[in-house]
Amino acid sequence: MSATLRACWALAVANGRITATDRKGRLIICLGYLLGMWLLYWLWQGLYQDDPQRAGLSFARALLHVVTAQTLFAIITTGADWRLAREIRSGEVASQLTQPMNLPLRHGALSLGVAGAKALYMLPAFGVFLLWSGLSLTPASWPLALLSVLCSFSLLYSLGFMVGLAGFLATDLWGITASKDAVVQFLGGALIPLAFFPPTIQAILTWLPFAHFFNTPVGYLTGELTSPQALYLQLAWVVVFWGLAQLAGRWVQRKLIVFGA
Amino acid sequence: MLIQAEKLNRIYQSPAAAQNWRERLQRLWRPQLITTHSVQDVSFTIAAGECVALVGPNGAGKSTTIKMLTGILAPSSGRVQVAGFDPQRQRREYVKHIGVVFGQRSQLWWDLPVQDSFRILQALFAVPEAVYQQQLTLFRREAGLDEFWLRPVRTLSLGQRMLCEIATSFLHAPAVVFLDEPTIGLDLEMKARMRGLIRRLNQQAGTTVLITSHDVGDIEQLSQRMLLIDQGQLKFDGSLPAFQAHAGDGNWWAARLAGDLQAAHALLAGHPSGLAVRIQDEWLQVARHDSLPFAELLQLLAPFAIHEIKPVAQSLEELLHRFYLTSKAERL
Repeated sequence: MSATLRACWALAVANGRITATDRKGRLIICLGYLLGMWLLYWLWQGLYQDDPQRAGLSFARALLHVVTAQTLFAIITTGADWRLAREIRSGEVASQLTQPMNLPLRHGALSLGVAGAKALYMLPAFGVFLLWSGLSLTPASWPLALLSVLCSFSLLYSLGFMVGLAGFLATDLWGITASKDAVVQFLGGALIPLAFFPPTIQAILTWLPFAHFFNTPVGYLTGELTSPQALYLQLAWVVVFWGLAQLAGRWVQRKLIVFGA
Repeated sequence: MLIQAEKLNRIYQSPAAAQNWRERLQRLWRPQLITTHSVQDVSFTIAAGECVALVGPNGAGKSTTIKMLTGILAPSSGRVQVAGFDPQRQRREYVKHIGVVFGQRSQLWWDLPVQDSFRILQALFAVPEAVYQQQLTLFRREAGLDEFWLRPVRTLSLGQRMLCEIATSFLHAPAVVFLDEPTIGLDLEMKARMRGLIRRLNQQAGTTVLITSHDVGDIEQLSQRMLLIDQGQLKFDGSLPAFQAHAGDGNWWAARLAGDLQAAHALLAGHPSGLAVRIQDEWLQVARHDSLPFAELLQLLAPFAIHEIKPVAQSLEELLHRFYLTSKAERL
């Protein structure tokens, strides 16, 4: 294992442990999550009351899509934006420059730790909900599905990292992060499946990064997607977003080093 | 030389405050910037194994200088080289060879036990296990880390935390360690332990240490040399005795007399040695010099009934304080 990977692993495990050791917080999050899923169940049942098929989807398939996407959102939303903004405002980001690690990679490792810990306690709750609602995940290929989830994490993390740079401009990120979350959830297929959008919009969202935040990984997890084509496109966006995050990291460094912000 | 700083300059530009709405509108298009010279033409060299104190009043430019040396701030002009590296251009490789403690920042993980923070830093700095164990044995012996080794960092006292911070800065056996206000807010016992640890690491491992502090004890007990910065300029570079000779007004005899102080003053002022004489409160003070031996002084003052006589040595704190005040007065 290379030194960089070992350092990333150490950071991820440390941050994961901190996230996982909050027992009361864990319990509250799981209960809140189950309540949210239960509400979604009744909401979507209400939507399907008059018609068993909408946008080519049955109630079971639409519900499975939405709850899987919401679970994914809950797990891979790791607060990278808030963390970076806080470090920028407190000046902690400058002292991190005295450690031999790339800034986006450091935050990526920290976020991965949070996502791993959240997966450990939220996936059992997701399993409980699937059992209760009689739904199940049937991916055509688990490796493709898991790779797509990893890409989705990478996209969302890179976006969060870039949004966190707003810490240089604003003291409160709430408005910015809330807008970001609303856009990625709505246009990414986490609030409603993209099948509900007009075909032209669907095509545009598929070529743009939006569909790859949630629609693509959920498609692989539920078995809606079987060919690796969507994953190739998702990977291409991961490369673009990671490149942008690296540029943003360099910008932060330049701003700190040159302007002493 | 391990550290070379050559004509370092750091300039900050900040927008000037507008006085009225008209100025505010004008500055939307044409911002008016105020230029501040935080560090001006600072040059010095530090040899390997030295322990040097960087001192100066608040806002003098000490932290800016440390930041430029650690690579987290680029000089506006001038050149820095530390251990053969350009701190800004070769930052990722360079930071593996230095240790840094900023008194107000932490390298430790708040919610994890101390030992885990050390393990994370071992991974970040790719410290080989043998070196890690060797350093750890030294820290445990010198700083008594065992007392709180398994406790989460958040439960440590400020002193215990600072001991850990200093130990972590030496963990990867760096060539040079920069300590910015490491003893701020610590009690006497903790300061002594901290100084002991720094001294031992400086002397045993030969690690070069550059320390900034407002605590004169840190300067006197740790450093052999002092760099004094004021208004962004290097005002003094030399040993502590050299500073005392440079900034002090020498040593004095102080006598408390029962007799007429003014008459005694006049008598000594007329002495052929021509030494300086002054009255401070109820004390008559005369400069100490071989031209007026102590026995002769006693003889001269005997008619004035000496109550008490003592040598007066100026403390470093007193000298620094006077130096800062003089400098401030000159500025005004």
